[in-house]
Amino acid sequence: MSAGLRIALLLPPGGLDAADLRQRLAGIACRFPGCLVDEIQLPPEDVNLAAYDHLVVCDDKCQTPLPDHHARVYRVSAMGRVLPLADTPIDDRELPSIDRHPFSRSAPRGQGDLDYASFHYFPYGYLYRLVGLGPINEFGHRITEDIRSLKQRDPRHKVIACFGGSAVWGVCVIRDQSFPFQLQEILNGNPELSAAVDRCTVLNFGIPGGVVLNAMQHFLLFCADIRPDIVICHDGVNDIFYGCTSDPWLLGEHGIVYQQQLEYWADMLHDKNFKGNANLGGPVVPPSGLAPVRILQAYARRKVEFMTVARAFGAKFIWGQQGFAWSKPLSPIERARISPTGAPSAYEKEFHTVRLLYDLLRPRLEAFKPDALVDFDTLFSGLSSFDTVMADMVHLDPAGERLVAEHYARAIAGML
Amino acid sequence: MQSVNVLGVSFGYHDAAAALIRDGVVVAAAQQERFSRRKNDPGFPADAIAHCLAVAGIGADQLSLVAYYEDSLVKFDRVVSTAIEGFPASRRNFDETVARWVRDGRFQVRERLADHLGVPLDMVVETNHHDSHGASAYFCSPFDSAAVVTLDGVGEYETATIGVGRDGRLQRLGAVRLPHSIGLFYSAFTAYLGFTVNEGEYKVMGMSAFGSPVFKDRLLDMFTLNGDGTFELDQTCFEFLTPEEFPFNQSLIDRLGPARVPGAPFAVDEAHMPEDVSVEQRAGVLGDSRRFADVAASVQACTEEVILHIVRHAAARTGQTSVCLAGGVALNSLANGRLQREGLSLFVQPAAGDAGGAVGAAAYHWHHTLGKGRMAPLKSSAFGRQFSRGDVDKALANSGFELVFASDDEGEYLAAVAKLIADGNVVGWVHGRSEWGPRALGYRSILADPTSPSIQRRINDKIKFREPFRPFAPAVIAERAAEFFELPQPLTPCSPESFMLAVHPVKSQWRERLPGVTHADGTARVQAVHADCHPVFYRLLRAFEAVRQVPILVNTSFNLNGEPIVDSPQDAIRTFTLSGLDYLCMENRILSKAIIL
Repeated sequence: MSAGLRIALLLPPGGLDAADLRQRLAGIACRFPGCLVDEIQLPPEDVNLAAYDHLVVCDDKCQTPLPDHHARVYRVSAMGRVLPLADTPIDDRELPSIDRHPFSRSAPRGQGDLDYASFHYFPYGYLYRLVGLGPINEFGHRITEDIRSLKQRDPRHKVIACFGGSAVWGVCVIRDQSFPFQLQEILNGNPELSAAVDRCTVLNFGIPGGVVLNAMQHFLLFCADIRPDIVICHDGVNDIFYGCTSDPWLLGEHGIVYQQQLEYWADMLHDKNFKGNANLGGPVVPPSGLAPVRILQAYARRKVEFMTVARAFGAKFIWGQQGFAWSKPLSPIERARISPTGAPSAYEKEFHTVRLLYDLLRPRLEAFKPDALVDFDTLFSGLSSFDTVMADMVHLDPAGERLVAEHYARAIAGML
Repeated sequence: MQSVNVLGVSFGYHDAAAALIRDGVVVAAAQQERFSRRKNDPGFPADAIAHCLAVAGIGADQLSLVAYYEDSLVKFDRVVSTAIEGFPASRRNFDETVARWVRDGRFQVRERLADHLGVPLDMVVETNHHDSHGASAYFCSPFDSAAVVTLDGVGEYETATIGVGRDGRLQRLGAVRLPHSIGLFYSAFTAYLGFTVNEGEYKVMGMSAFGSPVFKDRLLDMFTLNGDGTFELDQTCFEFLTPEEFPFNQSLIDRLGPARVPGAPFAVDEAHMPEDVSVEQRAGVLGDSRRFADVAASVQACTEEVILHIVRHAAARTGQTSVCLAGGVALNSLANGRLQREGLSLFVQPAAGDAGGAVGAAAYHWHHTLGKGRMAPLKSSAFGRQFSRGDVDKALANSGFELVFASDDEGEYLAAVAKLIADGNVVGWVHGRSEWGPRALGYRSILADPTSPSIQRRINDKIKFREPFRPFAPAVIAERAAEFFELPQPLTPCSPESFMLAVHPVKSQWRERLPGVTHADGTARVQAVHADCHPVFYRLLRAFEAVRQVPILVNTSFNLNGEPIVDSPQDAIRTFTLSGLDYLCMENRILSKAIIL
């Protein structure tokens, strides 16, 4: 639909360094596949901006007023995220499925940047709509395939379904750089797989903020029916992080871990004077009085249950243990990304809890007997401070996503 | 005969606490932070009060008096008068202070206490801040008569007092008034060195061992030491009355160089360099660290001189060689050790800071208002909560960890704990009632082998997650302490060493053999454990001696950096989980780090 669109990328007066420019162009290409991009230095002299279908400014670097033009103006971030200008409501151009169901239709569309990436109420858990980093479907997944068509696939067409939170979704990279997307490319480009497999489809069921409980819901709702060949459950941080803030009784007695903003929704339903924004993350309160190991127990219990369910639907189960910044010695670039001012990172205490609980869990992972175990916490600990893979405390940059894809590809090669 | 109960309470600034004196004996005392889990919690100490009443087994109707630790209206008068002096620069600070006072109900302290306890308003009395401090020191001491010196940031108007305790009465002889404050001087440098004021002062002490007091004379020049034991402090470098962001100003930076950024790496040699400092940054870190260590050493040396000046004059003026010391500055264990080496007999109440004002206010009115006989001296600090075996077992069962030892045989238990420690494990230790004051004294402690060369770094890096330069204290059985440490005076249960409040040199022949407790300058903050005051911990030290040949353990507070010391079994389990501790030893039970999944 966007093939042939003419786009002017308006560069700041000093220009951009090559890597920065490359990532922004990749973002534009992901948002407008097949478009033609002209790079134009600001201020635009002797350039007829009216000739372009869209103008794209570099979000944080455009200080120059633009001349009159008729084109729709977008902004592209250093991450490659393309959004309308601030306070511009999104519509079906950004999210073609925006009106598909009432829970998306009635959600906020542009009062602030959080409307482009936030939690929305959904009957079974929550809907997370993250716009601007590539296509998503009506449930927020980075999936463009018609999933139901995969039900009748050829046996040599293998489906790998990835579950987890934002680390699976890939919130710091454009769609084509996310590890599920790269994994599909690697698998389909691997000649050693060709004897047994014609084609692999990797589905990204990651949902920002997701815990294992959400993964199980999404599996049953959207995936079980197509009988995936392999399920990758790549997680850990969210279950521990949100375990710190979940109700001790729900977690301790029933293993229920949930995003803290869901408590806002309960407040909104039952408190007439509720003044908060239920779509925002609530404050992360200090860990509850619950024994912290109960958080691990809840996580392990749910993940083992998920493994059982996935296997019941015929899938092999890869237990992916997500790495995070404190899995590895940080490179100077990572350090600067995580803490540009040198101040302690946000939620330092909660991440500290993740680190310590990971240490307790690590020796026990093999005992769960998954079909394959890929422990990125351990794998990342073998990286050095010269390796840069983290985009922030939890999420990976394109190189990190590539690394994860390569490890999963190696694990899968022995399973198909 | 009906018991007489006096409740003392401190809150509103920092370190809220409650204490209860029953028939002249402190029977309960606790800081609110132990319940709220908020470090230095200044809030209304409802939980601490409830604890005190529960220990005494009484209701509030059985209280004879409720004593607040300062005079709130006089204090506000000082806030107003200093604001007027500093106007208009003080305007914002004053507005914020008034708003805080209104919000926190500090104009109605007596009313709040009376309402909370359901007692008549006239039963609630206030006490001058430094009288509370002085009373906490003198009346809890073993001395019949003594010079009484209080030193802190500021109370109502006073920042230090000199007095005498005699015949069960406290008499003030002199005072230093704001802005001249040795406590605020030390706090200003605490902030300058990148630590949190009212919390990080002991980090300055720890850092000082790595430096030389090259700035001491320059700092001492800021003081005018008067012939009557008082002093004045040149305010050029400080902002005590109208602090904006920091209690110091550009003049101090001009004299000593830029202030340390909080959390900046600290290493005076390559051996102590944090792993995450890059090769390119190392020279800069070394240079800065040496300067900051020199500043810390200079501040400490200067502070000791000022304290000595006050205390010497107080002793001379009162004709006493026994000195009772209180106020936050009395927690300066380096200075306390030096005072002892000067030949003075010292008593420092274990919670010498504002929390101790709760004991002091109650003690003051016990003697001065109720006219009762002299209180019993303080020989223990175990005034906090105790948990039943049932409570402990329930918490352990819910911990998610494997229980590896449970026995009612104390000897077997202590031998097992001692062996774990001797094998190189670092253990969390919970026994009996929690301790009163900022030091863990073997009731809620982290214990380790002092002979291990790597133990300091391991505890700092992996267990307490704190600065690598922070030292650890030794707990040693009292009658053997002089074998290992250069103690200036014989030990008694009331000595500062019983409460880990004095630093002494480690004997030279033991320094290399006790690397876990020997600080960079060859000293240690000694805790002497007496068999009759702390029998189980004493027997644990004996059990350790049986396997390691030294009756000494590394004893550091059972908490994570920035958190209060654990109190309940649940707190202990949480900290055990979220630290690199190997085992948790709690009331004859030992928990391992193996999780049950």
